[in-house]
Amino acid sequence: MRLQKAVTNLRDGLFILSVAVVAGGCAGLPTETAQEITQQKTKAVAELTDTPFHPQKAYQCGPAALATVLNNSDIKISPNELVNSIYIPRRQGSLQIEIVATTRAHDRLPYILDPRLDHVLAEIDAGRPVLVLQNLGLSWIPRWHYAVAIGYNKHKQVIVLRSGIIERKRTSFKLFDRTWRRSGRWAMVVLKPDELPTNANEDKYLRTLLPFEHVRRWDVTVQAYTAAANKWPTSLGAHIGSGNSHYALKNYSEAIFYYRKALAIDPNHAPAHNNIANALLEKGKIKEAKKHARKAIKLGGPHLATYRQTLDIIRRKRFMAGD
Amino acid sequence: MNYFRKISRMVSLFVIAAVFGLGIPASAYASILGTDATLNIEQTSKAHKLLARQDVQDQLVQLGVDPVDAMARVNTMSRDELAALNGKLEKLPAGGNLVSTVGLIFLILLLTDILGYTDIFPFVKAKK
Repeated sequence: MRLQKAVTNLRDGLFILSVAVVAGGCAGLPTETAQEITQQKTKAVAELTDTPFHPQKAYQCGPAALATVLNNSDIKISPNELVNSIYIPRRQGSLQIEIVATTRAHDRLPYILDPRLDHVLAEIDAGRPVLVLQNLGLSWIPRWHYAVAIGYNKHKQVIVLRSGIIERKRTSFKLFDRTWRRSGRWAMVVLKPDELPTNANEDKYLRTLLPFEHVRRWDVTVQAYTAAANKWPTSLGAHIGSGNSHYALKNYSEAIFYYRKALAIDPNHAPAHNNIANALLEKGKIKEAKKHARKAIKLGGPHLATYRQTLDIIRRKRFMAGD
Repeated sequence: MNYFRKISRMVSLFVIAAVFGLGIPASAYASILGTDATLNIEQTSKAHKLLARQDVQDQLVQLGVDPVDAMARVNTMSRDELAALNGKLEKLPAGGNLVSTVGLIFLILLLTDILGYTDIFPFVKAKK
């Protein structure tokens, strides 16, 4: 190929200039990263060949990449249907935050991975393709691009991506990491409500759930918090979240069950006392409810006004019941 | 236009204050504490969120998003996301911009592609 030859000539001729261009820039794959990859218990070679492929139209790698990972999580949607949700015409691209928010709108958890290549490989190994943001250009000539990592080969040190119009783009770990590092190594997986990522971080996972709670998607949060409670038996947030979701769905017995577990983790947790008081009240266990409401007030804290309100509600109910 | 916006902003503030400021319980769960409370997560006020939502919506429209779509889009965003986007829509990385590479920029990126520092042009096989 003539082009290849010209390219080779260019390479040699302009090497010195280029050193200046990228000075202070990128070294090889950091040693830690290389070590992380060898240490993980992932398979040596993996590829999710069933992952759909949506060749992108101009600028629209965001919708294409998001459709790919949503499809893999059983959401039927085309890149075209996502354009109105995440594409910004004058930026000719899509923002990470809108990709995250739109994933939630489809009742899926947008979990941002730790910025580690081995965690990306672990997700692929578990059957989940990973949406990544790369800067294929330079920090001062950015060319931001979304791709979906679907496979890897540890022996050959290669990652396989659905990227733009290329169905199987094979890139060395080294080059991939250079382009990925410029985005702060941003990587997202799409989880079903009862699904946890391989290297789940408790705090991050719970924070991923909170926005669902704010918009009262209790059918989603009840599954996710319960999965988290099973995974982290000492997680206060997971148990209270599960209790809150059950309460909102009027499953008061289950709510009480999870609040009790929260109180077993921390017997002096005022919000848990307050919330279990509400659930007990719904079950008609007024005496017990009152005991927990009083305990919450005694413990005090920033939500004291709410605890008092809870006790008020219990008293009123008691009065109305002629008790 | 500007005048209208000022008025609408005042009206929104009034409504927000009326709903959240006077202590009217917004829901039947008023006495249940959200999971945030257990995680010690700072919460931005609801009024603050509603204003950020309007701002981000306007900014999306300015960048060419259909006004109806813009409204639907901000409605899917959390408080933190609205705060993170507000005023930064033109600066944050927007994945998608692969073409429109001409002139000197083209030469520089071609070169860095060959050397394996960038990955723009599919016909370039990077130096090992």
